[in-house]
Amino acid sequence: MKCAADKIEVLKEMINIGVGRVADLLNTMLCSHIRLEVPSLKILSSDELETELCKCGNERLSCINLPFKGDVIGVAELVFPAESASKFVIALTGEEADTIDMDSIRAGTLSEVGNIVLNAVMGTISNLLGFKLRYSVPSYTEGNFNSLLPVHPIVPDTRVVVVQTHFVVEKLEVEGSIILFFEMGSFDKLLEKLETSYEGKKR
Amino acid sequence: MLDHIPVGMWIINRDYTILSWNNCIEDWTGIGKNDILGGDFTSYFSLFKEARYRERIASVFDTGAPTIFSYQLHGNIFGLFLPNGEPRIQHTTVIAIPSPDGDDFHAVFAVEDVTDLTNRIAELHRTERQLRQAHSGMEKRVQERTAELAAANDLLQREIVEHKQTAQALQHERDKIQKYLDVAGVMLTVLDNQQRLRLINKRGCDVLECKEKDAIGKDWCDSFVPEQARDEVREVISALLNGKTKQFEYWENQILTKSGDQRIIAWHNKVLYDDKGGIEAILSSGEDITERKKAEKTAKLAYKELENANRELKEVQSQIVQSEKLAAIGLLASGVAHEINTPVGFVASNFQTLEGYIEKFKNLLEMYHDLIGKIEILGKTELLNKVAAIDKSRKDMKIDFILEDIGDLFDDSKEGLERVTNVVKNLKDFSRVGHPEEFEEYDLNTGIETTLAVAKNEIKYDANVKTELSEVPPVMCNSGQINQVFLNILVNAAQAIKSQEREGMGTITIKMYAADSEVICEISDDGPGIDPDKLPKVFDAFFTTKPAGKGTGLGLSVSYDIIANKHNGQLLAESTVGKGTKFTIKLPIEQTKTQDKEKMKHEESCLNSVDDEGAV
Repeated sequence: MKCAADKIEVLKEMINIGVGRVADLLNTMLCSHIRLEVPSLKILSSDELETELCKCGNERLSCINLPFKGDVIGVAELVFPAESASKFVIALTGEEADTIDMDSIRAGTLSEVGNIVLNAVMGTISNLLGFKLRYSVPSYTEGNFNSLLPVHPIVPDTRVVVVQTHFVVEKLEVEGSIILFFEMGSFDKLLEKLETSYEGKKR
Repeated sequence: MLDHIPVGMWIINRDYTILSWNNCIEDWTGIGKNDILGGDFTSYFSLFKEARYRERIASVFDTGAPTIFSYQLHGNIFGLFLPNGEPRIQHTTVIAIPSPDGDDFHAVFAVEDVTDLTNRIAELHRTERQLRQAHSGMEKRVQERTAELAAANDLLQREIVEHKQTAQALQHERDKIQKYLDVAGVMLTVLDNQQRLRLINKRGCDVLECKEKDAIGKDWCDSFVPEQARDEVREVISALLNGKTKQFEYWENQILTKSGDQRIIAWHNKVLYDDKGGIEAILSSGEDITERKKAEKTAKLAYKELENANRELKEVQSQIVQSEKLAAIGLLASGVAHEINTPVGFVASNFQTLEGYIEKFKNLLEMYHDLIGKIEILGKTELLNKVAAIDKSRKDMKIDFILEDIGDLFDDSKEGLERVTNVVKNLKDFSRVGHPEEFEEYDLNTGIETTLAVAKNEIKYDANVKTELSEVPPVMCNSGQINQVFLNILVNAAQAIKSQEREGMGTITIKMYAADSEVICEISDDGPGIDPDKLPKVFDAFFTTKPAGKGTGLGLSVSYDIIANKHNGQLLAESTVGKGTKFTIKLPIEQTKTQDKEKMKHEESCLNSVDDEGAV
């Protein structure tokens, strides 16, 4: 496997497996079918990233971040549009949408859901690739897409790899995205690792 | 170190054995370190006996990834209550730390009491939500207001554009109008109701010898009207502003130029009304007629001179006509004298005879008288003798013949006197000097007869006159002038025949007939005729074919003037050499009013054309 494009396809597949696990989890949690899209992968400069993020508009989003270090450096994010986030929380907790505590409920609930989902994705990827990763504690934030941009640990002037997949919980009309940001240097490492691991598995 | 952290914390290994237990969790659970350390975690926290919790914990040990147990999904891991009995809100995070030997992970449980935090967050969110609502309300208001402002701005922009366009169009129109005004060859001015100049075109500035900017706003009368005319002009302008437009629609007055010249301007004035129908200004177009006035004056003088000359000419013409007439009469004088002499001769002779007759009557009457005186004295015989003597004398004196003759003598004399009277009357009629423009109804046949009577002696030795006179309607004419024409033509004809010195008599034929609206008289002779090259000249003044002293050369010229000019008729000449000449006179029956009028109009227009030009 010499071609980078092939490696990227493999990576996409692995991420898809991770997300598939997430789908199982969410299915269990929500008792609802989850529709997944094929992940997209883009290599962007920080400027391009900004431009890309700007396309997402000014919609209010709920986001759970899981930064990680180790063999690769990056951030995994679970992102919901605010409305979907609310529906998601209602489905999980059974609380009424207009209760005063909804916001506090949402933060706690989504943190845990994000934790589960991102752990599943990252756990699958790191298991498949045999990576060693150290995770920070997940954090919950709200804001527009731009404000959710992981400034840290991404260093300016470096390129980032953005892997994005979109899922829809049809019954609840909930949608969301799982986005992985990798630093470029560590991404190359990831691809190397992927080759070794893939070849190894093939043997 | 963990003891100082205000978070309930404990550490377990993969076997769920509690390795560490801090003060805070000691306080919250009431379980002392010494009691719990080395014990089985699940025996204190039964929740973690459940598979789904164990799975989560297992993943911490397997992957080193942290796990969260939120209050919202799991409630409290252990009982912890507020003073009011409500459970405290716990947020549990499990993170992996490497085991001291580095081969495995230990799981660190950290339980935060986030009651206050959650409440504060909830409060914060509420506030935020309210703020957001207020903000969104405000934003909506701002958006609405912005939209309104934008719309107003759009409208304003449009209006500005429209205004600009209108202003441009107006300016364009104004420029165009100014161009038109400037192109105009007359002065154009607008005076406002304060009699100040509001608009003036280029021609106006040229005449006033000033610049537009210097003239605009000035009081018209004070600045541009000579002092002597100022009051009058001011009154005229006031009258116009008061609506007396008809009276002063056209007005001439003098104006004063910058260099002090005075020019005469003919103004045509119109008033301009405002929206309410009030008069707000006067628009005037003025033509500089100074030069024309001068020319007019010259023309008037020239016209007067011309008029005098014309009058003199007319007088001369009239004298010529008269003298021509007198010449004709002179020509006729010998004939007329003869005409008169003959009757006068035999009347005189009769008179002599009558004188003799009267003498005889006187003698006879004396004899009778003597007899009557002696009738008482004388005896019968004597009486008888006396009577016999008287009777004898009567026979001797041929009284019976005389009585018969005397009637004849009187008849003859009466006829002779009548003839004289007629001749004189004809002559008088013929030579009548009437007003040249005096027209009357006249029978042209009478005219011919009168003329023939007068001219009889001029004609009768040379030509026979044949007349074919149809009955014709009377013609409006000046009879004296028409007779003069007849005479001229007849005498010319007779003289032409006479000039041939032929043996026999010539013939003059006179035809009179009416055709349509004219009466036509043809006078033809069988004389020598006129050469074709001379024929066109016969009506020219002073042209004559007669030997010197025989004619004035004015006869036919005057005749032509009388027929063609004075009577709107025609006088035509046809001639064949060796065969004769024919003159045709055509006279309109009516000197119609139209013709009269046209004639008058023609004459007036000749006058007016000068007058008009003078007045323009």
